[in-house]
Amino acid sequence: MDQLFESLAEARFETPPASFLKDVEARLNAQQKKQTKTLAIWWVWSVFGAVICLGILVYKSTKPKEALDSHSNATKVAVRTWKKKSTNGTSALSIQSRYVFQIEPQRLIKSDSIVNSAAESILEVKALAIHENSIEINPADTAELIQIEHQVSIPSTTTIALNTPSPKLTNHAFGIQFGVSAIHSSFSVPDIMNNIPGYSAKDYREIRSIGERQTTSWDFNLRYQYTKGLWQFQTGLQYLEWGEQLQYDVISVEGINRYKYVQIPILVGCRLMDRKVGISPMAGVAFASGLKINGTYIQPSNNGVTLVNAKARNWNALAQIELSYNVNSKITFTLTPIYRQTLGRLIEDELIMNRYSSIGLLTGFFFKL
Amino acid sequence: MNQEPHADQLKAAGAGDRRAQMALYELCYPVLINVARRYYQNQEDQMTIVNNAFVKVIQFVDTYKKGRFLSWVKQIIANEIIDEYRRNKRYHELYRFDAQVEDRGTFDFQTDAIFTQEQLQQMLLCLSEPARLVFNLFAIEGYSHKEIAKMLGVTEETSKWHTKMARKKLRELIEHSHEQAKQRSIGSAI
Repeated sequence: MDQLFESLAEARFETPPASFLKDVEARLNAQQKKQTKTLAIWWVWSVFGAVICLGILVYKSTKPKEALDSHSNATKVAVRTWKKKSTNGTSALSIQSRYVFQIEPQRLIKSDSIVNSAAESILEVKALAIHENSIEINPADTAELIQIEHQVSIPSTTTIALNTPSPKLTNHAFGIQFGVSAIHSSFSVPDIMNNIPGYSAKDYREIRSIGERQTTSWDFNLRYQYTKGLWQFQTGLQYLEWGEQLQYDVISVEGINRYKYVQIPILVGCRLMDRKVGISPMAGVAFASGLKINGTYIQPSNNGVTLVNAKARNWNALAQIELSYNVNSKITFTLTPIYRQTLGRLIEDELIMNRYSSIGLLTGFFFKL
Repeated sequence: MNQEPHADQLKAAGAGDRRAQMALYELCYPVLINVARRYYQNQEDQMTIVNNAFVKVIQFVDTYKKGRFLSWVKQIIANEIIDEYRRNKRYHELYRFDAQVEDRGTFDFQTDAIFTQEQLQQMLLCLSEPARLVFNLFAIEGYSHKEIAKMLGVTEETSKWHTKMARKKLRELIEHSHEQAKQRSIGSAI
């Protein structure tokens, strides 16, 4: 029995039919596209990694030489007492963005040290920078300083004097962000369409609402941020996409329309900080320029597809709430829910009129200068 | 059908040269379609499995090192068929021992002595899907029950059982064909 069927293992020469050739070409094209996309994603993430590495390198090279590593050489500052600024005997310390403490250089010790007198307390702080006669420390450490201030009750014959707090009010930062957005497309069909013989606005509206669904897009931002006090200003270069998924069963057509743009946003907002964590609501507009603007929609006569072009230049509105975490004085991690909307119609092609909005989540880093 | 592709052709196909890919397709097609016909009756299903397997061949052609290229292609399509079987959620049928009793009809053969490739293929298509899959892998592709059990994630006994049932059904089909041939010869003598 098995021998009888063994002969089936032998293949005879035959040429593939045209339908097979056409199908395999389509599959190979799709495979090639997929590979290119994978390659592009790897490329983007490699650039992202390179930027991070570069940022760390820049941060390390700009860090003052005197600054000490927080783990291996935690700076111990001998504190005798604090000069109280207020006259009623209570502490005038408050959490500010940065304090500068004046110290006697010989009081800076890098190893365990015995406190000289009862008037001294030992304090371990992470130094941001140590200058000739002052030390800059993280705001987070000031809480500890305040505690020590209360513990030490020696008259103010200061060795280390608390300088007037001098928070840095302005700063410049550059950042990079990646994310994904869900795009919502809405269209309108003018009733004037009913005046054209053979066209029905109602049917066309119905077919499009069944056949078009939302899609997602990758976002990529390079940004510059300027902070002054509570206020923030942001600009840069953003890559974004608009579009929708198509599945018109009536004409057996499916696919995705993707309109690709780069835009220059201008955002203004404020920053609320609590130690290392911050929240910045911002809003603004962006001027977008199209990289790929051609799309396909079902014909108003419902018997084929028609090609349309989105606007080559367009304005968008943006609103975002940026959540930030200061990894250290130079690097800030951000997580940003963002809402975008086209101002006016992106597609205005007689009978095909589309607007878009999107909700996305971006994540990235800021490198402070 | 012993023609083997040249190493340069494989390299070019792997690098995305469409002409080399299509030339390789023409070379692999007889092997691929021959396997596909034993598992699928519908031409559309055959096309899907043949072309999916070929895309895999192109995708992994860089990993092909030695041995007969067309045997490697055969292995790829066999794996593709097994994957397709899993994807279509028919996998549980392998564990159903009543699956073979499903009658998929008979085939009217013209002669009782020699069967053409098409007739044998038609006979195979009369088997239940699990029995056809196992019998193909065992009797035609030459895998052992141990290998089949490993590939399909079943026990060796299950593989043997499906083979036995496939043989039984095929024997019935052959006997039926003999009977019909006999009746035809009596009819023509009268």
